[in-house]
Amino acid sequence: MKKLVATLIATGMLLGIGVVAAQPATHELSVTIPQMLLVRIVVDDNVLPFVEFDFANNPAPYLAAIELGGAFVSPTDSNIIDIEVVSIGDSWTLSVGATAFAATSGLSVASADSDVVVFQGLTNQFAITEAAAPVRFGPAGYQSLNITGFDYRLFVDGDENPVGTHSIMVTYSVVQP
Amino acid sequence: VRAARNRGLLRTLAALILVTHATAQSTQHEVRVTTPDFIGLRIVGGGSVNPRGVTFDYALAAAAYLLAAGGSGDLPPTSVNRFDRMEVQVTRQGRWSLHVIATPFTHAGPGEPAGLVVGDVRVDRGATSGLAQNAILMAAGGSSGYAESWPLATTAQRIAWRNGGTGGWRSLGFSGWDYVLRVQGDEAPGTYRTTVTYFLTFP
Repeated sequence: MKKLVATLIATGMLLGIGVVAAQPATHELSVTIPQMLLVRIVVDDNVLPFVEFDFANNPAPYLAAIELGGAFVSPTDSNIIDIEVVSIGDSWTLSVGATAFAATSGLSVASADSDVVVFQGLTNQFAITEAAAPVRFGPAGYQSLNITGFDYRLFVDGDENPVGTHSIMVTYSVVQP
Repeated sequence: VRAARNRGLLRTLAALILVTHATAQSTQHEVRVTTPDFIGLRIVGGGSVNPRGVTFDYALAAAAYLLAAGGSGDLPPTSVNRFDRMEVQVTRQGRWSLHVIATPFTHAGPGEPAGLVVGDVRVDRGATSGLAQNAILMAAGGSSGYAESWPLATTAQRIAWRNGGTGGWRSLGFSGWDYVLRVQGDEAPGTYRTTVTYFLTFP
């Protein structure tokens, strides 16, 4: 305490604010910042996040794509409105992987030539593949990736078979170096 | 002879009684009290013995931390110990000032400290506690003043001043609950500690 008071007196003199004239009142203050690393898919409802390409009732976009010999089509529905990363204490790398389509589906995410792509402009798109691959990087802190379900694209060329519903599960994971 | 002597004595006594009844008599003495100049500053509050302090522990409240980091950034203390209010008493005449200073944060945790300085903590006087101050008589012309909010700093800063005594212990109108932590989400994990000191000066 004597050292503290002496320091305060010296500080006060240096600042030209006179001499400390009373016993100071002190208290401790502590801040604990949690360790945190997470990726979160934000939805606009209370159901599991999904991206849907359902052309059963509206085949026009699908037919237009195959008439071109193959093209990307947009989702018909999704509840994903954002993907967020929180990384307290260090930078982060976000990777994306997916389960495989059924072999007979005519759809594939086996390689970089994937039929499922997240399209955010010409230079910022990434393919979704079975092998998890890094797709985004960022500094410590909170970051919205501004990815919605309607940024997804599906490549169709007419060889999709059989008729029906084909599903995969896409997984986002985040790591710190 | 004896009778004559007795009569003389009685006359003398009567005369003394008459004198006593005839004039009031009083005496005086002075009581002198000299009070020393007293200047005091104290933090008042209940709780455990040690430490007196303000704690922002969001290790188990990560969701609240996350919400603040993505929103307003402001977080309240999670606990306050023995800091219900701060009081000042000044008997000395003249202008006095109240200052505050904090030590730089020390850090304990994984990695290096980053993203947090003592200036990220501020006091919004009475904002949460609802306390009112009666230590500073606000007057026009700058002869008194009291900041409504102050961020902590590692250099001394004046937050209140006035002329004259306080007439007893008076509240400065804030408690540990009026401290606010500002986070941005880029803070390195761990526990940061500082010692905050309030002190009075006379120019």
